Amino acid sequence: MNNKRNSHIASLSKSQLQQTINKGLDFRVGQFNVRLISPVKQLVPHIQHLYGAYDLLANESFIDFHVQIRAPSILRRYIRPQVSFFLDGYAPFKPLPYLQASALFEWGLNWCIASHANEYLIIHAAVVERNGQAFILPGTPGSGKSTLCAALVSYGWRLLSDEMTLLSTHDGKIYPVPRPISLKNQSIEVIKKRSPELVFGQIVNDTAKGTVGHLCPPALSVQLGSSPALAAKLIFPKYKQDAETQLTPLSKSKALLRAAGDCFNYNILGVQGFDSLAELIEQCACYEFHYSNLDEALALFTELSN
Amino acid sequence: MTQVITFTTTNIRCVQWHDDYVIYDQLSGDTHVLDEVSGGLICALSKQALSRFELLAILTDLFVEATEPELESYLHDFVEKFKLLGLLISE
Repeated sequence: MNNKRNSHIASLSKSQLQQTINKGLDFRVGQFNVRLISPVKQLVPHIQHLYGAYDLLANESFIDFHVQIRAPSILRRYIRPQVSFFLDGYAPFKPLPYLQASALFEWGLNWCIASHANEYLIIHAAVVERNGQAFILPGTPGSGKSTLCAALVSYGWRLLSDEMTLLSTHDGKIYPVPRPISLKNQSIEVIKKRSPELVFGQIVNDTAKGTVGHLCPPALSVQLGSSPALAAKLIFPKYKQDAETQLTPLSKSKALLRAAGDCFNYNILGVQGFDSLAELIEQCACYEFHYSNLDEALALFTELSN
Repeated sequence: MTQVITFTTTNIRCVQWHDDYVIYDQLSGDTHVLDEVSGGLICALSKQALSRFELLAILTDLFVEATEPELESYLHDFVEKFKLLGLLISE
């Protein structure tokens, strides 16, 4: 009998969590089973605060991603400490300062999914859902997609992902991968000010992306991590200071071309990627969206989802 | 005896939305957005090889008021452009 079945990470005390992460914390993120092994103490509060709602896995579960966060060498535990991200013992990135361990874990796990989950067409896009309609928000860094996503989620929308939309090439549905929402620089304060009740992990300064903070995903969104959604809208957001709230219809052909450019694996999937994207575009209303005022953005999105 | 040159496309997928066609070239992995006329011709060629004469006939149906030199010029530009893009092959 396995006493881990159906329990959540929050059921572990801090010391139990630390011991488990040392040996291997097995948990489920959407469609993926992850094992995290790390002696880095800084990761414990990150996991405790942001991953409490995630299911622990039964012992015999198949693990998709074996992840380790540890010092790249013994010396780097003591002299200007650093941490590296390992997948199956391989380190795809350069080491980062020890204090950036939590951000490295989040970025590394994104990389695992984006580089390996080729049963999905993966669009670099946030995806949220309300009233059974998934809204896909593609965007490059700085487009304001994560800020908009965080605001929508704090307003009750379901989070499927703030970073990558997993479009199944088999059934055309959007599969969730609910993870902490990554906010950068001014966006952190904007969201904290709007919704002081939201839980953030450690704020990490001086990363390659500036100041980074991760926002705890809603427990309900995590619990719905196995339930796919149907896409209804494809909206390309663009934050611009003082911009008026403006939603402009976008032709399906232009939307397909832009979305293809926002995919991680469109070229890898070849014609299967094109067919999947064309079907998605066919079923979605497509728009460009310019905004600076989050209240107006929320009102407009709510209206669109009614 | 004059040899009849026919045109065909590489292995492509076509999707049409209103006046736009989106073409996916399976050989290169490139995606193109084409207007109604170019897209219509490319999609027709993806189904079967067509001669210059047959392509002109399609254009004549589309542009009833255009003169023959205008249609010839359009077809010449079309062939050159899409050969350059690697989408069109002459046989």
